[in-house]
Amino acid sequence: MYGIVGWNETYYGFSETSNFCTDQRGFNIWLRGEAAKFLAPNDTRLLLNTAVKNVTYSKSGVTILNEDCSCVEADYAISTVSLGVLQNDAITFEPELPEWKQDAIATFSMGTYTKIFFQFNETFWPTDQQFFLYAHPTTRGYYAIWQSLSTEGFLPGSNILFATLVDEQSARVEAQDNATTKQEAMAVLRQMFPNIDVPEPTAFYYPRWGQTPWSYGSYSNWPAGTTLEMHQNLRANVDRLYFAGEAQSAEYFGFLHGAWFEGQEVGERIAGQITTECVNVASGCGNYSRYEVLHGTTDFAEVNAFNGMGTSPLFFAETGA
Amino acid sequence: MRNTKFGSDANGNPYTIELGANWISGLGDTLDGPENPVWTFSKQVNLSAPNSDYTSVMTFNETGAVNFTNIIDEFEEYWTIFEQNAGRILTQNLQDRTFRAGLWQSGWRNHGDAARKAVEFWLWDWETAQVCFQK
Repeated sequence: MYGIVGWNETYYGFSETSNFCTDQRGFNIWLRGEAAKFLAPNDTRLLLNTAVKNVTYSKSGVTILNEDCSCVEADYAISTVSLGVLQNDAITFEPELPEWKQDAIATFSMGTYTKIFFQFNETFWPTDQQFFLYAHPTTRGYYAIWQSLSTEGFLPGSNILFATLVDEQSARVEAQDNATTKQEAMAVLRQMFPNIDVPEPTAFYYPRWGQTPWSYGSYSNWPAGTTLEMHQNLRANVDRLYFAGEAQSAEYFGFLHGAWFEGQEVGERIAGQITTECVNVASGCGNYSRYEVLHGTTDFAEVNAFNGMGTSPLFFAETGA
Repeated sequence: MRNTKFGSDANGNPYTIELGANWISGLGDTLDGPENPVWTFSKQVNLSAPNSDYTSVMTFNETGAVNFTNIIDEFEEYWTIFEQNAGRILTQNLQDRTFRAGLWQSGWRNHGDAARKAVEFWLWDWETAQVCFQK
């Protein structure tokens, strides 16, 4: 259900049109521009290439310990690390995160989206199409989607084509060497264009998001049966440690704009506590709501013979001598 | 958002390619809705970002180009029912369904057909970066 909710909020809430960045300055040029409004060039407040190792939080403040043994103390902190980073125990928390928080981290899923780039010495595929969909006879998602950048309005004449793999196929190609992946992909292209002498690529590259220590995946997703309350626990702060990022967005998880809106929300909540003037009254101000106990739909009294459970499923382990 | 240099152009200079996020998804460029903030910022820096046309798609299987775009159209008809069912689950606090069960309840069947599974992948798995079911 929340898969459809997410789809609606973005494609019906905004619009069904999407643009693909081909800007040679890089897509993040807009974010760099926004950051430049409050960060000076080489601003010493911004620590790049600094891995966080431990976060100690309490009701009065937060201490961040980095791998290089540098340390930052703050009244409030916002973690924007990905769900994948949280799931991989890349950072230790002190005290340990409460059970409701750990549950939320374990419940939501982190997807991987892998783009495999090829440049050829010619554009041997149709230049009037943006997408090519390949149906592999047995394996779902096996080099299924190809996008051409060598087309009008994109990067015409670039001879660049890329395939996208997700999930298990991503994990599979991440675990094997580049040469094997290239060989697999080329075999698919030769099936797709049987009447063309498909040349070997002149350039080939793909990222391994599932193994990248600051992402461990691409973006989050909600498994079937997850609820707003479960998700609220993923959003919620623990004492003065707050969380933001695309995974924390109920409306726009998986999207850049989801990360933007959650950053805005968390910033306003903390600013409201520092200045005693809250601007986000509609969503609650201050601490996020959270649900320390989440109930299912089956009352224990209903675990009975009328529902096919005539014998008790509870067995007690012996505590040992 | 992360990019890298890749390949080379006619002058021997590399291209910049996006390794992660590459879309401004849902621009909100119509008058009746809010604007996507990423689109707002993108316009401010005159970002080169052509429109993705999802109807500009050609289909293939292991024998070469085979047109099964009619299956995409068929899927989208069931999709409407699927969406309405999800709305009913939300507003009436009904038990949630998996993607697979939701598609089934809409009446869509893939019959184990590779082309129909490719269409499912094209219209859902790909976007969610997760394969909804293997069969």
